[in-house]
Amino acid sequence: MTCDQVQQRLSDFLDGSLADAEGAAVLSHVGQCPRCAAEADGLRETIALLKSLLPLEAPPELLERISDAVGPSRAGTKPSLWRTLFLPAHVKIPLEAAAAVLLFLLVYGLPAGTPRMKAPSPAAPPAATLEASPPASVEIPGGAEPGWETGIADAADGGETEAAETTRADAAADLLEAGAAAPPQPASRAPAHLPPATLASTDGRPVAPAPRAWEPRGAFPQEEAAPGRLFAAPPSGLLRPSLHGREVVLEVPPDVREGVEERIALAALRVGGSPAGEPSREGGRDDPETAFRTVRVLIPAAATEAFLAEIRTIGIVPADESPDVTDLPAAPAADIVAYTVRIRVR
Amino acid sequence: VGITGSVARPADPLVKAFLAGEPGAFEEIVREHQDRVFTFCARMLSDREEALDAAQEVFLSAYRHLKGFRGEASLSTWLLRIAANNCLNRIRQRTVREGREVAVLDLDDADGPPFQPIGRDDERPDRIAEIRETGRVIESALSHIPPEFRWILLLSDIEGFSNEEVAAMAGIPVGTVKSRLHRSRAALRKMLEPVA
Repeated sequence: MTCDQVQQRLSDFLDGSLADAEGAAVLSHVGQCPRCAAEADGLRETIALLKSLLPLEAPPELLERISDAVGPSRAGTKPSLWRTLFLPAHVKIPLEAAAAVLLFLLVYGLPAGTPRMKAPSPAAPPAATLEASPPASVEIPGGAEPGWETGIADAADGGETEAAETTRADAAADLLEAGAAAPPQPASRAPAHLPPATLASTDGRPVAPAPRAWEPRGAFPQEEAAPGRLFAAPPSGLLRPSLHGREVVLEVPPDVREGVEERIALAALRVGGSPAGEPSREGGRDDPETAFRTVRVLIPAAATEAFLAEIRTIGIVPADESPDVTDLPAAPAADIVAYTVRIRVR
Repeated sequence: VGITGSVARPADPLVKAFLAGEPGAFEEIVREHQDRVFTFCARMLSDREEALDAAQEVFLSAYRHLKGFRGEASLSTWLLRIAANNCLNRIRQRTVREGREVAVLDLDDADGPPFQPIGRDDERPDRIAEIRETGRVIESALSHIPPEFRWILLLSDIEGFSNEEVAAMAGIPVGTVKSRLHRSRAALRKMLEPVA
């Protein structure tokens, strides 16, 4: 093997990539040829120097530039609040939109849209008819004018949408059905059109077909100026009334237990208040006769005494268990009191 | 495509994290590979600012194409391949812009490259390691190796890729890689020899 042939193979020889026989020939030649040996040493030294080179340090602006180009959220820089909330957009925006719709429905939609069972009475008369004939059995404390439902028409005239008008008209019809069907005297029995007040039969159904306390405010635009009317909560959920206000225990004998919930609700209606939600069972006891049931009502502050007088016609209100000084932030307005009436069979 | 015919999946955990959309994954990829990529670009281009631009383009290209990264090679190999192509394109554009032909290295040219950094006997190759600025001298010598040869030298002797890997990255036969590598080493050795 000549020197040129050897030197052409020196790199492969140093890399160990020559075949055994060829490598042995190069090794033999290098051992005998000082010129080729020096060339081999020089190449070996050059390779060693190259391998000894340390990597350079990338300048900091490289990462900064890349982060700026690709966006901080993907590059890993702490994302901004905006990016946290809205990126990736295809995921977060639909979720947030759904959350906003749900929140809107919870605040504004559920009370009016909650299905309520209408009393099985004859069909409610049109609102115009009702306006001319308010229920005589419902007393309006505070000298409220009989046209309390005219607010509905006022609101309708005020440019409200047809759907809103329909909802409000339905609510008014429900209310008037309840009022018109209510017996004028303190009833010892539930009105015939109301569902029975047994635990089994009232689950999921309102005891009194009256509108919720937080019916759309627009349906009763003059409610705050006219105490004694049915009132509504402010539109904002933040201002929705707490249902924990004053607590009243009402003891009733077992033989008149049936229909007490309805009678409490009617008592509230008579004094210008309204039931707040459906009655609920408390106490955790299985015996329906001894278990507590509560009825929550919202009563105008001026009519609280009248309300207590009403329910005393139903049963006994123990004075020691009905503190009159409970002053919790309970109602949608300062002139409204939320009562929780606990029915105790004794 | 693996032996079974299935598409190879990226084994690099950072790549997996990036593909999974984890924030910070790409930054970690950059942090892990930026020195190597920048060094390669700097040695290929012999210009810090241009190397910075090139390295940025390498990572941005990787960012756009990581979804197509199948993991058949390591991420560093993939990045250096992108870097090599980027640098070669830049060198070609630079050459065209400056009105010169792409350098074709005649390593047997008696004149040789113009670089003669060593002028004293104590700066012979076998003693260069003792010199304080050894690295700078070698870097300077490297810059005089034509790019088509230089990147093979960088990938093989500095980055440690095998001839077969370099051949795969360059898309040239292994024999061509061996030939260019030998000529590059010999030229570099000449440049590091003392000037007579």
